[in-house]
Amino acid sequence: MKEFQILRYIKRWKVLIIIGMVLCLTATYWYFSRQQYYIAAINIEYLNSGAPDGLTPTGSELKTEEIRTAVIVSSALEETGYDLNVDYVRNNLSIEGVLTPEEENLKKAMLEKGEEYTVKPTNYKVQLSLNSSYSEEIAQNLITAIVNNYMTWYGNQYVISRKKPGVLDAELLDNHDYIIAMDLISESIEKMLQYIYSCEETFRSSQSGLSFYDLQTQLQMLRDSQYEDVYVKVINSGITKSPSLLRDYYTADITEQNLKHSQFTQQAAELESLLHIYEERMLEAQDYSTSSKKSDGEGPTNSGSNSIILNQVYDIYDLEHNPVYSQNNYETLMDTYVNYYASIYSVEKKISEDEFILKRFSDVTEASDESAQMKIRTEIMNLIDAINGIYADLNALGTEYNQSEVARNIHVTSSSKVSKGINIVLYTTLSAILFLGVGCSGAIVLGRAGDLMDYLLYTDKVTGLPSRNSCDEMINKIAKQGALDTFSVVSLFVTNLGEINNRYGRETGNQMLTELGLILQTIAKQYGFIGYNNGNQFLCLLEGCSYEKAKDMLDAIAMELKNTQAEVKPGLVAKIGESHKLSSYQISNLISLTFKQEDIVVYRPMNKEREGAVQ
Amino acid sequence: MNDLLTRLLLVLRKHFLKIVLFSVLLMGIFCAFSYAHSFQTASAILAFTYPNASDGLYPNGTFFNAYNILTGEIIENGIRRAGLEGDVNPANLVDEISIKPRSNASLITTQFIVSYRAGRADRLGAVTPEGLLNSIIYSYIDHFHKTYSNERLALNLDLLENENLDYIDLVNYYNMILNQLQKYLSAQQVSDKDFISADGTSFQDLINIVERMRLTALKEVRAIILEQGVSSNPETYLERLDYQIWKLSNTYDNYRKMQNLYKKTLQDYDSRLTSVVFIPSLDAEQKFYMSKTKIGIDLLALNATDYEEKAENVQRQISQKNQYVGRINDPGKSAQDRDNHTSRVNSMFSELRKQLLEIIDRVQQVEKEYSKYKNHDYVMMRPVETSFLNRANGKSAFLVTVVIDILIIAVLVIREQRKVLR
Repeated sequence: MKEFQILRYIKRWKVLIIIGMVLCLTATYWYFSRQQYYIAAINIEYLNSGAPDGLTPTGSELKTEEIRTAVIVSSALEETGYDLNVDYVRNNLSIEGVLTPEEENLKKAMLEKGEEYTVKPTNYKVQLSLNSSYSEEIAQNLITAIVNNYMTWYGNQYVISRKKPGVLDAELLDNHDYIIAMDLISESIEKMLQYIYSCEETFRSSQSGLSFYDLQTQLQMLRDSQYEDVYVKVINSGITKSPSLLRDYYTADITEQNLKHSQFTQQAAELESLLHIYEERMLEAQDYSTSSKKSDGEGPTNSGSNSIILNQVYDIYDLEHNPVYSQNNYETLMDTYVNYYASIYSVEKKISEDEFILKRFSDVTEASDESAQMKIRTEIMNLIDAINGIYADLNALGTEYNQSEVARNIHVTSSSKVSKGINIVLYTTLSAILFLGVGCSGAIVLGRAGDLMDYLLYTDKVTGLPSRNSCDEMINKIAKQGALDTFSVVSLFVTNLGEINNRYGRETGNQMLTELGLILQTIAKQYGFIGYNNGNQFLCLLEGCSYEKAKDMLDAIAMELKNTQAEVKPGLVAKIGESHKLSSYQISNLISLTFKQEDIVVYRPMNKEREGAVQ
Repeated sequence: MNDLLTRLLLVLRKHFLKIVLFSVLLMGIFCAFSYAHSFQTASAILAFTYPNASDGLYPNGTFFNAYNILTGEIIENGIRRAGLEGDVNPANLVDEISIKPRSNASLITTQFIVSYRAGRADRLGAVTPEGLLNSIIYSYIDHFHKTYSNERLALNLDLLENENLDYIDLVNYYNMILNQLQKYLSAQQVSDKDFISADGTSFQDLINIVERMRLTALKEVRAIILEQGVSSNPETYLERLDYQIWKLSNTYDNYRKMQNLYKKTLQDYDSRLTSVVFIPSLDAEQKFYMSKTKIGIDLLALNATDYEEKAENVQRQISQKNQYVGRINDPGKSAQDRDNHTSRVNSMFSELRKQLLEIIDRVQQVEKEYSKYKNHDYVMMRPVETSFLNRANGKSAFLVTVVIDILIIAVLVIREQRKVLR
């Protein structure tokens, strides 16, 4: 059988391997390109104090899944103008909590101790994956828009608690008398001021350049000058659309305020009496709850007992960072008592104001003349315009302030990053390497299998030379090539094989043939095809070989046989047929003619029986 | 293998000149194509360097979004700036401009690459894509500076010329403007304590000037108005003062009632029902002290004091206003005296007005200088390098040529081998 030469096999299949590899590369690239998906991610962090407990600034449970809500996704799609299905985007959007290395260590340590780790992550990774129909840019723009929309939504939902005051209605004067309209304007100014007080005084709009302080002082200035000026004009000049209606309005209001006054006074009196009872009972209860008495057995040893312990000993603050005083039940009752009286005083103040107006309008019997009304109307309209001008600035400033406040509660910790889900170059390269490996291995296996089949079919097991089948195939092949040029056919015949078989046994005969085969294999490399044609006969088909060269070959064989150290050597005769010499240019004819030629003794053993023994 | 190498060398020797010429030609064609094509695209780096940028925020603390560059107003301004109105459709441009973070780092990106590829519908004429892109970016930078980069001073000076305001209202108005100025300058000083303008003025100097005006000139004019009972319209103003005094009295009564309420509640508070607890605590300097729990009586006492202060404050205002009413109504004052005082106040106001406008002008000058200094690096634009090699895409041209050469050489080697085999 042929030698095991890897490169020979690969070389034989190289074209197929290369074509296969190119096809494989193309198929892999095509497949993975279709399977490609883009992952865009942004990290966000919740900064409010309750975030580690999984709470929003309002104290409700933090639900990061809200990023996936349809309203946010559809707003983002609308903003970016991409034509994607909302549900497709929602399904491909994921939110994952990310623990910092410190949090990871803490969690590990607590779990090792067997304690439960309850701290929730404050960092989250928002990830969007889009298939190959879209692009990296779409994924990146969309995730940015989704997170921006979510943060705005989150801010409105959980961060911004204060409500902006409303704008003053320009039709105020059509529906109300002047002094009532002035009261409503005053109310509106106070609401705007209350809103301003709840914001950071120094916050300045980067668009208008105005701060809350600026608007506060403008509004106060307007209230104390322009508003007051108009108000005094209205009440001192008694300008009204209908005095009777105005009096009815304020009389009714005084009646209502008096009712409130009675209600609060009653509630305050009831509470005061309750407080006395509560104090007595509480002190009695303390007597029983105290473990020891004074030596004389009267009264408690001290005033400390569970009933008087404050709800919260340490300083606590509300959501707007105002200190909250610790209270027990007694103090809560006291607080309510104070509030009742504060309401009573507030009602009294209102009654006094109403009475003041009634007094001013008591002498007015008719509606003011048109010119006076027109004049005051113009002044009130100017006032409304001025207030609404400040309101517009306040509204814009408030929006900007809200945005910055939201940013203090939630922010992005990394810009949007996009990566490809599949590394096509890597996979393609790997598949190429894989195919190359598989192709080469296949070539080796197939090549070796071919060798084995050749050996079984076309090799004579004794001589190791091509068998008779192989000789026939060779003859057919040469025949197909057409007319011969210089070509020699040599038939070698072993003369003493039968004799040796009889004398020394078949094994010795076979061994002799094997050795002869080895010699002929070496010779064949130089001259051409030599096969074992059965019946002690070897057939040499020598292309481009003249008669002389064929004779040289026989001499070389003889020389080899002579020099060989084998115990038994074959007697060898040959017939040579050369195409030109026999004028035969068809292989089959040439072979036939060759067999008709005279024998040439190639080698005759010196001792017919045992060449080695004679020597 | 040796055989293959020999054959390869033989092929190279045989076709060396042809291969070299072919390579040069191929590279030349590729580079020329890339070079010509490069004029259809332009890129620039947009870098945000203000302090909040790395937190993903605009300078005013709101959320940053680099894609805002693609808003209609900015694109339209950019097109106008490049003189391509009507030649380039803003809607197309939005699709042709892309913004990508310069790096894919894990932190917030502060640098972006803005690229523009001219579409077929864009009639750029003599304007290069680079020129159009730069115009758009500059219009964005303008918009950015206008919107974010500067905390501008905004004063409402409408009432300065308002003759309807009575003198005391005018004093309050001046006071308001000066207070607004002072607040603004204080904030500027906090943000940059070291800034000194070219003429050596610091924010603190300006604060001092504002304060001086408030505490001297304005105080003086106010004193004259109140002491001499000067009013531009005494009759009307007396009505207002009357109303103000009534209103303040009402408020005063309310505050007193509240103060008394807290006092009474404090008195009624049964101390046996709440104990004061002392808690060992550490102060800001980590020193040990005994902290007391705050309980109801603390709150009651504080509120009583608070209302007491408020009431006294209102009482002071009532007294002041009564005094002012007395001065306006003073029968001892002759009309001549009143006219003299009025003209004095008028001239003082005209001086005050002059001073105030000068101060505002100076503040604005310093502010302008500060803005230039502060905003210089807020946002920067740098064009992406456009050397010949970059435009000609030299690296790619070289790589493509090498790959094609290898393929050609392989084909030649195979052909040679076949020849030999034949």
